[in-house]
Amino acid sequence: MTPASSGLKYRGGSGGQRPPAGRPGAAGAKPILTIEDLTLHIYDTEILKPISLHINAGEILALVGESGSGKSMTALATMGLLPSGSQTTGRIHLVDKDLLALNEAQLCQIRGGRIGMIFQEPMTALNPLHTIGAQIAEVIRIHDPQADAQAQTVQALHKVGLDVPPHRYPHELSGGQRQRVVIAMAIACGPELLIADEPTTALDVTTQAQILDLLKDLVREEGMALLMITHDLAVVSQMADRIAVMKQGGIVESADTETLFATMKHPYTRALFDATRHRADLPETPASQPLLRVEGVTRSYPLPRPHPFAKRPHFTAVNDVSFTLNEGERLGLVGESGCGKSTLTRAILGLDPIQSGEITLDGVPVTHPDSRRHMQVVFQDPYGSFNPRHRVSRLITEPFHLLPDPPKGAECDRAIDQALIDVGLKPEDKHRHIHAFSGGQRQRLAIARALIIRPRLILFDEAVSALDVRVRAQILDLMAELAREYRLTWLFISHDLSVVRGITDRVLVMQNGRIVEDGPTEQVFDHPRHPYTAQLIAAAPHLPETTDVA
Amino acid sequence: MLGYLTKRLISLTLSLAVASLVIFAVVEIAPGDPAAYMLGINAQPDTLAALRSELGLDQPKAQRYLSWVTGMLTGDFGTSYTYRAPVAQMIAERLWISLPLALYALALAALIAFPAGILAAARRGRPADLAVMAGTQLGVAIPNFWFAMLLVLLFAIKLRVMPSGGFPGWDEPLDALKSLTLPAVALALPQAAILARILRSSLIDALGEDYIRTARAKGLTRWQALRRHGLRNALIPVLTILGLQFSFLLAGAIIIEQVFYLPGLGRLIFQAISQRDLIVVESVVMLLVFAVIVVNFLTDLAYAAVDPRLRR
Repeated sequence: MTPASSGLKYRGGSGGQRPPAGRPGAAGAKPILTIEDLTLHIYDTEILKPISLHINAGEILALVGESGSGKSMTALATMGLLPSGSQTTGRIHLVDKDLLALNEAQLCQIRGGRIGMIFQEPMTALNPLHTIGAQIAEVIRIHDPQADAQAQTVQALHKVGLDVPPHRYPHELSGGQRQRVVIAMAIACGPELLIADEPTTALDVTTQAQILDLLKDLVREEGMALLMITHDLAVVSQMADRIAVMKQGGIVESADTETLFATMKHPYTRALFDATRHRADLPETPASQPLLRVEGVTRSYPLPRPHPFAKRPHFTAVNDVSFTLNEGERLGLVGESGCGKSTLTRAILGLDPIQSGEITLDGVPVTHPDSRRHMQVVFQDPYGSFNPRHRVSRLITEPFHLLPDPPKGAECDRAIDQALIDVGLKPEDKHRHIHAFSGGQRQRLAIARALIIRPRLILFDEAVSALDVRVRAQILDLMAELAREYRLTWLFISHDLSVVRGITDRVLVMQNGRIVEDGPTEQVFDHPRHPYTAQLIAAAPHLPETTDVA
Repeated sequence: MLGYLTKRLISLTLSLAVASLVIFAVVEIAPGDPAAYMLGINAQPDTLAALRSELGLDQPKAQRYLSWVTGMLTGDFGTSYTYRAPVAQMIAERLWISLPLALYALALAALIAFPAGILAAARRGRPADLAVMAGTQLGVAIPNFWFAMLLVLLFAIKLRVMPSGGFPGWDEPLDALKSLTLPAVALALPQAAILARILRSSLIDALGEDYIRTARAKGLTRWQALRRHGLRNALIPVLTILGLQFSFLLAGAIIIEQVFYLPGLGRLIFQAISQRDLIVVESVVMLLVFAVIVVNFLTDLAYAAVDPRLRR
């Protein structure tokens, strides 16, 4: 282990008091989980190369990697919940028990009893038909039929800081509250090992910070070992004791957090680190005319009546919002889920009626058909936003139907080729179907589709949120390149502050349907004026700063 | 929950009112004068007029509709044109066969479908699943009247353990039940096959949900997770189908009734239509509509009992 380099300013974590990561059984530490030479094949595909790791009591090990790197499979192998057709070799020891040698009945006693697990998606991880109390009590009763399950349920809810009566149903709780219920279930039986698989990826930044704090406290207080699985280095940089970086089924680098960030011995670790804090190099924007004007826009939804003869209540999702987007400007719109940014996006696209106010694109209302061809949108989900039965040539020329005189024949072919080249793909790709492309390539195609009619405004609705960090960095660079070439104007909507910071000139912060802050991006991030903005920025996980960018 | 109940009840009442209007209007529009039909083509005009006034056919339409509806509310369905008997009594006699038969068939269908569907979903892709799927394919494909004839051949003619048809009345409950058994089996088979398939696919969907993975991570066995978390989540589509099947079985058993010589509702409505006995047609159709709407109401209540998210 190399000591921290002098160029590192490390913040967060437990500082340098902890001994460097030792071998299992190193002085004083009691290893809870020891994985030795674990390999996994599903049918004939190699999923895990021999990997080895260990976690001691009261320690947090982060397993970091991109999608498909095998990090979740490592967790499922530990739980004994691998999909059918899986074959493993090697050893997984929970203290003294070899988990791979246990039968199903023995594994059932381990799961939920000695190992608790937390999942990514709190909205679907709970059974919608049972109360939260019943679901927590179930895990207690399964492992100890004599236990006073009700009392222990209340205790578990208290431990995770959830002040909600146990007879509530999951749909009555927010995402953060549901994740606390999932954590309560995982720790209800006092497990020795806790596995958290992307526990905060689906949550807002402020909720994420609270859940991470909760996990940290639980580990320290209960002396559990925590295996934290994530794609986000920033999330674990402030809480993990050690980090193991996974790539294509193997661990490429593993060290304690401080050392890892200081040395980054493996180029892949360095690449992940750089991509996480990547900022695109946007061209300067000369001052210009207003393009999109949003004036006093209010959008409210009717809610179900509380009883058949009641007056229908309304929910105001967007409340008196005004802003102007100038030609050539790259504007960001940030806010947490439920703040009204998606509703506002739909209103700008002219998809939803608004109750008051006006939205115009170059003086023409956005609901007017003439506005449509000047506006295009790139959505979040690169898998769901293309018709799988059409070829690329047809997919990306879809916006042509907005033009009064769309290009035909050779002219159309040229437009397709140019659009594909612009986004870094090859003209030959136009003959392929969408399933042949990766997530990043699909997002390139979505941009090609948006650009093909040279719109005056592009909306990016969480357009890079579903991508791995390195792919995300490439897409952001592509956007900057295209902005230079075509002088694009865009509205970039995201919950991810770090991305917005790297790809916009000006940013709007939205809270409860209102815009609470509007200013140049750097200024808003460095000197937020509104307390909510400050709160968001403080809650967002950030990487330790290093000065030696090799 | 109270608000939900009120809303469902209001919608039930409205549906019934609209249905009665539509049925009345349609029967009115249908060509043919029941009085002329009853008396034959050689009837004298004055006898015809006398009969028309006796049947109330000479009154204004609005008044006839009102007296029909108020009559039904008090249990008076009018008098059959052809049989000169109270319609209420005729329907009641038939209902005593059709209702038990429908319930019997439905119970049998559920009894077959639930184990089969659960087994197939739990053993997805394995031999048990394939066997259930093949069996249900056959169950859907075989026409039930043909299956009914096979049942008669085997159990009534060859083995002589079941009656081949007819209905002895409920004075001998055991014999009555026995005579309904073969028709119920014949009716239940295709319904069971459909139900098993719906349950299987709905259960397979439920088993792929995140909360099943959560349940497994809590230490539940595969079977416990299926029973406690999968099954109830898979019930909604199954309840929908069950509701539809009951309405169908109540009046749709006409061919099976014919095969087994059962004087059920299906046969009654068939005879009434061919004899232009409009008051019977009106009343039986109204009764069936009533049954469908009530069953839908009960299905809605069952949804709410299963899924707390619907209780608003």
